[in-house]
Amino acid sequence: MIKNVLLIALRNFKKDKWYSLLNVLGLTIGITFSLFLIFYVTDELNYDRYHDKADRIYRIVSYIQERDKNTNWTATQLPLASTLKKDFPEVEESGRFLNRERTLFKNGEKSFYETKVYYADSTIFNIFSYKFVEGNPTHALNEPNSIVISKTLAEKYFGKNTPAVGKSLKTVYDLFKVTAVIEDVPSNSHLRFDMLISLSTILRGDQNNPNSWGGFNNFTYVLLKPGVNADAFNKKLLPMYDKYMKAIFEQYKVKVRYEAQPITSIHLHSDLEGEPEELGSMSYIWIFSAVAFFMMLIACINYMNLTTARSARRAKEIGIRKVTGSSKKQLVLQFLGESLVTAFVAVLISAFLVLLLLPYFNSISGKSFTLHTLMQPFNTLLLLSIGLFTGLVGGSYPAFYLSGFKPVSILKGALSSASGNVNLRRILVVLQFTISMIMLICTWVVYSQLSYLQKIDLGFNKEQVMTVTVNTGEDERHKIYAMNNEFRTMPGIKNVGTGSAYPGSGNTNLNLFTVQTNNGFVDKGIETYQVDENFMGSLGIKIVKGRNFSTLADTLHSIVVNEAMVKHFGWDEPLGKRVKFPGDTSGNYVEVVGVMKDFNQKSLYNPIAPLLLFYSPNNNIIQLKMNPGNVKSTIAQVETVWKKYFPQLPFEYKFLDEDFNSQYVADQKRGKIFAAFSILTIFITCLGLLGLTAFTTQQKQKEISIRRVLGASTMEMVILITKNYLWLALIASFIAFPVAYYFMHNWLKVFPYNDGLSLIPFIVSAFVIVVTATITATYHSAKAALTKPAVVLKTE
Amino acid sequence: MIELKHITKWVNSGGNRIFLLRDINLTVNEGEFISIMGPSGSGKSTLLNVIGMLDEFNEGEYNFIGQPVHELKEKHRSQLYKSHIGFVFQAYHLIDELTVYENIETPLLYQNIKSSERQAIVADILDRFNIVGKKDLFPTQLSGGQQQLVGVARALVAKPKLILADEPTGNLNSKQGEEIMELFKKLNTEDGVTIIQATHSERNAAYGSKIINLLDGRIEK
Repeated sequence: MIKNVLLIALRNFKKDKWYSLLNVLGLTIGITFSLFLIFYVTDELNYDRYHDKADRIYRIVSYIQERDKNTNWTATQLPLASTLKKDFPEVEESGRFLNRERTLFKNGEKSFYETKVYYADSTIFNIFSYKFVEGNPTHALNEPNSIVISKTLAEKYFGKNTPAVGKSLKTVYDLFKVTAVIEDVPSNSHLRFDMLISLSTILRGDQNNPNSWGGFNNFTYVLLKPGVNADAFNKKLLPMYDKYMKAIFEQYKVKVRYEAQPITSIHLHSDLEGEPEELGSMSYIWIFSAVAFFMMLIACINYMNLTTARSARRAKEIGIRKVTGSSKKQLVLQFLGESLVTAFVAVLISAFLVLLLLPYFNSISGKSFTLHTLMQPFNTLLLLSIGLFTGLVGGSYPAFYLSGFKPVSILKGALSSASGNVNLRRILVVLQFTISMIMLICTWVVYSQLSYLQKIDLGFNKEQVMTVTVNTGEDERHKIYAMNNEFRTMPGIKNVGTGSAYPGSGNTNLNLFTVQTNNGFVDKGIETYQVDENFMGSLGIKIVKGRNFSTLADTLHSIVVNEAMVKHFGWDEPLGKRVKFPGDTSGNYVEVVGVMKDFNQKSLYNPIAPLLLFYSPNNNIIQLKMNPGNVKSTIAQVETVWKKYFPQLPFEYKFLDEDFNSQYVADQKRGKIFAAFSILTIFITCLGLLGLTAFTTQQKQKEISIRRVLGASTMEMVILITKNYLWLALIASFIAFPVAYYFMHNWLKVFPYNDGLSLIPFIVSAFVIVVTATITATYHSAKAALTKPAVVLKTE
Repeated sequence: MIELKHITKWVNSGGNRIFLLRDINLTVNEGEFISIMGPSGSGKSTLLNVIGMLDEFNEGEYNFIGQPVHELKEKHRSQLYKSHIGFVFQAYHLIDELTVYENIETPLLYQNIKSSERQAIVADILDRFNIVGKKDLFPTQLSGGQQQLVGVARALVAKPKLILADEPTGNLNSKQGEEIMELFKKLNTEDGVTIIQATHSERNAAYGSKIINLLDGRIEK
C-alpha cells in the first residue's frame, strides 16, 4: 500500500516534471528561509538561557531619580553586591563586573588591544555557567592581577594547544597571571568578555573605594535562592536607600531605587542606559516571526494551489480507485502521503541549503551560527514538524475534497470541469499578493528612511575626518601637542582638532550644573565634554553667536553651548550667562562665550539635547580633517609620525562618517534581512503564480480554442485571462495599503528625524506586483492562445 | 443473487422530474449472463451503476446476495461491492501512472491481501490472459483491445461473483470486441461468474443467456 502510494507520487512527479519542480522549489525556498528566520528568532529568544541557573540569575539595576530627570541605569555601586548577600537571606550568591577601558596587552612580540575586558569577583563563577578549559573556578579570580581568558584569546597570545595557565600578559604598567581559560562566552549573552581580571586588582589604594555608595560603575548580579519571588524581593530592596545612600544623595535631591532584572529578559526587554552589548528588539522578533510564518504560508498556499489545480487531472485515478474498492480513508491517506513525501523532499533539500547558505546568512544577520549550534534536537524536531505541517496543510484540500466525490460523476468527467474550488484559489492568491505587497512597501519605507538618515544635515561635516585616540592612561598632553604640530605640516591635512569626545563617540559625560535663567539658578543634568579651539573647525561646526574658544584663558572660564541649550533655558541673550557646579559655594562660575549651531552629538534616533563644551587643549582624541585626494599616503604619513611619539601603541584610526553611520548598523542589518526576505517572498509568489496560470490556462484551453475559432484574437485572449489576476492584485492592494501604512507609521515614530510616509512606495509596490503578476500570467495565456485550435479540439 | 423490486430513480431538472429508471423489477441468478440492450439514454448505464452500488436510487428495494442494499450504510455497501463485484468500462479506465501489473494489483491492495499472495494472484491472472509479457508496460503503450483485456483482468483479480460491464467493446474494433466477448463467455461457462453487460450490439447481446430491453428507463416486456 505504502509502496503503491510512493510509486504513484514518484511517477506523478516525473510526469509533470516542470510543475513538480516548481512545487518543490517554492516549498524549498519557503522552508529554507523561514528556517533562517526561525533560527534568528530562537537565538534572540534564548539569550543568556545557557546558564544552568539562568532563571534564578538577576542583574540589579538602579533607578536614579534626579530633580528634573530620571536615569534608569545598568550600573550600581561597588558595595552593593556584598551588602545584598549579607542583608538578604534570599540571595544565594552575588558578584560584580566592572568594565575596563580598551587596553593593550602583550606577550613578548604579540600585542593587541583588548576591548572586552572586565574586572570581576570570583563569585561570578558560582552564578554563571562558564565552561572551564583550564584552571579552577574557585581560585581563578582570588588573587590580585589574576586573569581568566577566553580560549580564543589564549590561542591568540599563546598559540594553539599550548596551556596558558601560569603564563602572563603585560600591559604598559602591570603584569597579569593567567589562572584559567574558559570557552568563549557564547554570542547570545548580554554581557560578553574575552578577559576577566580579578576585581581585587583595583580595589587597592584609594581610587576605587569598595565601601563608597556614591559612584555607579559596576554591574551587580545575584543568584536568588530557588522559589524566591522577584517582585517581593524588589520590594525588600526599597529600604536600602535610607540605610546606605540617604546620607550622600539627599542633599542633591537624588533618590535611588534598585530592581532585580532577570538576565534572560535583558536582551529583548531592557530599556536601561549603559548596556554592555547591543540589545535586540522585541518588535523585530515579532516582525521576523511574522515574515517566517507568512513565507511558509505563501509556500504552502502555492503548494495547495498547484496541487488542487492539478487534482483535476487526478480525478480519473480517484474514480477508478474508488470503483476498484478504495475507501475514502485510503484515498485521503494516499493524497496526504504524496503531499508529505513532496514536503519532506523539500525539507531535506532545505536542510542542505541551510548549511550551504549559512555563512551568507551569518554575514548579513551578524549571528554566528555553526553546524554545531544548529544540530540540536529542537531543530531536528522543528524540521520534522515543518515537513509534517506543510505536507498536511498542502495535501489536506485535495485529499479531503477530491476523495469525497462520487466515482460515477468523476468518471463521467464532472470533476474536470469543476476543477476544484476556484474561489478558494482566488482567495489564496489575493492573500499572497497582499503579503508580498505589504513586505515590498515596508522594505521600501525602511530603506528610504535609512538613506534619509545618511543624507540629513547633521550640523557637522563627517566627511574626510579621521580620528585617532591616544590611550595610555598617562598624561600625554605634551606629546600630543608636539605630534599635532607635525600633523599640521602635512599637505594632506587641513585641520587638526582634539576633544575628549566627538559626535557619535558616546563617551560624553552627563553632569549636573546650576544654570542661570530668567527665574534664577536651576539645576539640570547636561551632556558635556572638552574640546580645543580647533575642534569646531575640523568638524565644520558653525558658531552662530559669540566666539569660539581661543586661548588658554578660556580654561575654566568659558563655555560654548548649543542652540538646544539656549532654547531649553529660554535665554534671550545667551552670551555672558553663568553656569556653576552644584554645591560649589566658592562663587566660581563659567560663562557662555559662544553658541554653536545644533549638531547631532548622538545618533539620529535621539533628538538634539542641550550640550555644553569646556575648553581644554591637547585632548586625547584627535580629529584630522583631510584634504580630498591621496588619503592613503596621508594615512601612511600620519602613522609614521604616530610611531615616533607612541611606539608602544598600535596605530588605529577611524573615519568619522563610518563611525557615525555605525550607529545604524543594527537597523541596516535588519533592513537587509527584511529586504532579502521580501524579494524572496515575491519570488515564491511568482513561482506559484506561474504554476497556477499554467494550469488554469490548460483547463481553459478548450474555451480558448473555441473562442479563437469564433474569431477572437490572441491579444483578446491574453487580456481575458490576465484580467482575472489584475483584479486579484487590485483587491490585494486595498487590503495591503492600510496594513502597511499602520506598521510603517508606527515604525517611523521611533525616529525624531523622518521624511514621513509618501505615497510612492505604495503605488510603486502595487504596480510592481501587478506587473509581475501580469507578466507571469501572460506568459502562459499567450502560449495557450497561440496553440492551434484544431489541435486542442481534436484531442478533447 | 440480485433482486431489484420497483427500482425508480429520477433527477430534478429545472422543476421537471426526469425519470432515469422506472419501476425496474429484475432478478438475476448466480451463473447467469445477462445483456441489457437499449438505445442511448434508455438507462442502461444507470441501471448498471445502481446494481454496482456506484449510484443511488430513489425508490424500491435492492437485495444483493441476501443483503438489503437500500438499507446499508455507505461503508458496508462499499465493503459489499469491493469483495463481490468487478467493473469493466467502455473507456477501460486504467490508471495511466501505473503499469499493467500494478493496475491489476490495485483492487487487491484495497482488500488487505498479503504482498506474496498478491503476487501469486496477479501472476496467475496475467498468465491466464496471456499478457505476462506486457506486465511492465503502461496503459498508453497498449492497444485498445489490450487495455480492455487488462481492464477485464483487473475486474476479475479479486475473484468477484459478479462482473458488470458497461459497453465493454464500445471502443474496440470488431475483432478485438469478439475476443473480449469470447472471454466473457468462457468466464461465465467455465468459472461460473455472473455477468451483466450493457450493449448496443445485437451480436454481443447474443453471447448472453438472457436479454433485457430497456427503453426510457423501463424494462420492455
